[in-house]
Amino acid sequence: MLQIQNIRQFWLGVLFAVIGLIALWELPRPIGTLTAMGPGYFPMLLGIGLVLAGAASVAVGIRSRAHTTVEPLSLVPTFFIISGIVAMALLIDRAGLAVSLLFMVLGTCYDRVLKHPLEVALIYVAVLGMTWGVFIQLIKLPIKLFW
Amino acid sequence: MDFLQSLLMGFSVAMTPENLLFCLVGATVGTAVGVLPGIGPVTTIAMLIPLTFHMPAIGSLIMLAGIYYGANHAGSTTAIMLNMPGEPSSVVVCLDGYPLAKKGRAGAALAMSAVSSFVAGCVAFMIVAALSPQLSHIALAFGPTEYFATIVMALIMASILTDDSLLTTLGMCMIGLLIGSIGTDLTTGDERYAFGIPSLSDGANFVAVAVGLYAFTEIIEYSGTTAIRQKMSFSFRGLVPSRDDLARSWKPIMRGTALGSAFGIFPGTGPMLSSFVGYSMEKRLADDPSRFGKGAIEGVVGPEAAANAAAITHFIPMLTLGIPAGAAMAIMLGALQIQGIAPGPGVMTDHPALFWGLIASMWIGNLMLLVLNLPLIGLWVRLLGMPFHVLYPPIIAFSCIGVYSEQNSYFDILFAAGLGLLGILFRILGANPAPLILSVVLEPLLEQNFRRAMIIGNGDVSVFLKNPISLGILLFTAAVMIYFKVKKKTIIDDVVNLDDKAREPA
Amino acid sequence: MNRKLLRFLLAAFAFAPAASTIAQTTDYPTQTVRVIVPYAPGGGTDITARIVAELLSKEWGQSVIIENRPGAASQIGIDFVSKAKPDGYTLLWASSDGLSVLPAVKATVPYKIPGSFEFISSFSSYPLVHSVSAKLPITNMKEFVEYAKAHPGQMSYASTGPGGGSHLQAAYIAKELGLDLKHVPYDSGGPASVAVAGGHAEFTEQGPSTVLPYIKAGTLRAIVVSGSKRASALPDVPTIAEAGYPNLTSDLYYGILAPAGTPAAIVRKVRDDVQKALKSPGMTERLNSLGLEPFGLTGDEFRTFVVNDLNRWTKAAKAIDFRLSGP
Repeated sequence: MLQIQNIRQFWLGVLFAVIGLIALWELPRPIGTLTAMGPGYFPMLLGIGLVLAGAASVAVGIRSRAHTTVEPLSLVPTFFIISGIVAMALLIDRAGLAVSLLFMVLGTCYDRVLKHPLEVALIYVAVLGMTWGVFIQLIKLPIKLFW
Repeated sequence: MDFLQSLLMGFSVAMTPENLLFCLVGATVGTAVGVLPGIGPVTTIAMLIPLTFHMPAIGSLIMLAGIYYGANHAGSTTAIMLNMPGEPSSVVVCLDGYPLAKKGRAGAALAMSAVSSFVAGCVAFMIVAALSPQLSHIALAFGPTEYFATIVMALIMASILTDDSLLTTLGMCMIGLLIGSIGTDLTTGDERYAFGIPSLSDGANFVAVAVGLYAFTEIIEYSGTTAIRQKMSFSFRGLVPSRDDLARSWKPIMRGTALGSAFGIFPGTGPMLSSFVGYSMEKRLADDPSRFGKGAIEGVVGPEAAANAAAITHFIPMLTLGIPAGAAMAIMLGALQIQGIAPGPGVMTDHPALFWGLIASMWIGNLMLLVLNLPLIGLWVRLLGMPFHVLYPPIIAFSCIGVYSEQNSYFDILFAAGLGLLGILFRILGANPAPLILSVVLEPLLEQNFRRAMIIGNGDVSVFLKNPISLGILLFTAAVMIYFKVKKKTIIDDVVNLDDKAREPA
Repeated sequence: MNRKLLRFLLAAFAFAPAASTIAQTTDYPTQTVRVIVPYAPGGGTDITARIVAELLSKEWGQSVIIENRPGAASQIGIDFVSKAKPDGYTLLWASSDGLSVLPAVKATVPYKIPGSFEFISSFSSYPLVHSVSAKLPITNMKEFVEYAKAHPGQMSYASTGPGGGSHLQAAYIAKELGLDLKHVPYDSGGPASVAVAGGHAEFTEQGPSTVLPYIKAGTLRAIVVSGSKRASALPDVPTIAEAGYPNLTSDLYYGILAPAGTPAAIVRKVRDDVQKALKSPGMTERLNSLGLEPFGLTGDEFRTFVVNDLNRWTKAAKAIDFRLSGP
């Protein structure tokens, strides 16, 4: 059984090919011709290019003798931080700045909120004060403080 | 009008106490705005437009221009300190500026970037004063064919930005081009990859892409590493550039300035291209290219000088052709029109005091920025000494609201979050996102000019070789590519050497 | 007696809302007024909006802020206002491209013209200047048609984007006059003018502000203007009707609107003050320097004008068989 040595190049290739295939699957229509290119012409070239680059990358990854390692994905922080950001995005129009920032701070400080609740509370108040002052008072963005 | 007369006129306009004050206000506001992640010069300039109704034309332009270059300069500060580019031109400053900061040399990097901007500004100013009447005609000769060739050159230059294998860079470029193709197709008006989401129908927004790929990724990676982020030392020795820094920097500054001054003349695209072509050039010319990406001061000062020189020479096409390089410049053109001055070929002859006064004020503004920024460097570096877990909630908050404010769309924050996930994958797989983000910015130019050339040329692909200017650019690109291959390595070598360039532990 | 009292009370109740509306409108505005501009800052719509907002805010002693909500060829901002609370504190500053061109070229837009809005007042208008590259031997419309007929499929026009007035007007000219022309889209007026001035495309249809400097410099040549009157910036250039094509006449405009259902008294107050701003000293000169003409249609006049304009563009879009897709 062949062991893949250049594991980074291999997985990058897979990633390229997947993105290329998504682009081709969702290809905008019509494609058009060289003189009258439709919206899909350029994305089609890019999608094909990505699939080819991906395939080549996978091949190189398998055949290469260079050894690379991949650090495991740190799932916990990725999950919490991205969730905090997503919560903020979904809440900012509906619930206002104060609530959406609360969820964002809870998400991003997931590892400290139980150990140092006071510190997280202080961070929340400080962030809310700064963003309120700068974005709502100073540059008057159409964001509500509360719902 | 001859050279000296123009210079004198410019300074006599820019040095009045009133205009000096406008310049100072602009540079200060710009710096403040640029340092806060999320508020760009666009929002600020748009807000200040009504104020300019009551100001003299030249004073208002001096102030708005001050905000623009002040913010640009401050964008490099966040790029160096936090690995967050605020503008397309500061993407490459991240490549070596941030590693320098991690080594505890943020102060030196910031100081050298301020100095190089200033030197470049001075030289570019002289070039504009000496050559502008001749330069304003060049841009008219650039049609779709010539633009396409220029952008192909830029993309190929982008492939030598990083040490990743050619295959990886190619893939990253194509992903970037795909992201750049999101939105309404300019030729047919059809939607592409927008999935019915209104804020995507105007295309992927640069701030969202930069925040996702850089800010979010950086923060997730740090909170994931068990190792506590190394406190950045802020000894005063770290603040002051060493003699070695100066010795290494002066040539890149000069080369960057020359390159940027020349690139600035391309309407619309110049300033954006110049910084990363400047970086690629320095990396090519270096005795030891392997230092790049790990904290080479040349990788900071070269592109900084190029970007700043281009920002100044770019005032020629902007004022004489009315083509802005980005949204901030577009608003400035609007402000100019409110004052009853239409940008166009007549600007330099009809309004010489305005033209030269503005250019002279940019030189003065750069001097002010230098004076303003050097004392602040200590403060920035001290700020970096704060524990990272205290710094990042405000960074995320400002980034999110900044992304939101571009189109008042919450979806853009979700888009940035998605790119954050993609950025994490790239980190794990060791691929540098710089070529990707540059391709996002270049896609509309590349595609639209290709399509325009095909429409005008009735589908004849050979127009790019028949046209003398585009042929020249493409031959130059080919020469650079061949030089690159001969001097360094082939695709296979790249792959074999991959473990050499394994990322330093964070 | 009791009945009298009852009647009086009923009458008082019946009139109370009306009385309070009057009280409200005399107070209007009591808080910040938002004027939505459906484009990014810097363009003609934005500039005119900022000029007026500044005067209104001085007149009212309340801040009148411009909020840019660009996107989807101005559809996003217009839709936002159509769904806003009709209390007079969210107004729309729109241009012909969003109000009467976009609904004509798009299968569906989420708002109705004229149903979704109260038409407060138009403010300024401008023509499209039919400008050719000065390298071509064309000085009038007749020569233009002859040249185009002699070079079928070789002439191209630079537009400011698909589905806008600049594109539709050129395509409509081609259709009506039986010419074979190619469309080269740019993303805004500046690059499109430069393309024609540099000889990379043959002609363009644009407002005076972008093309005038090139006309003065001699790289572009104005052939006709599309307006119903000659442009003050180009007094020697005939209108397209004078050149013999009255059905190609079009006046582009900027104006202010409110969501349907906004109290009539508020609409009247805004209208009066916008009209006052339009007549303020120096305004005509200021507009002229931007290539614009004062154009102060009010209420129903404005509404009728927009409806007729929309019908005309719908006819043009059908004639050239052009449709925009999208949400």
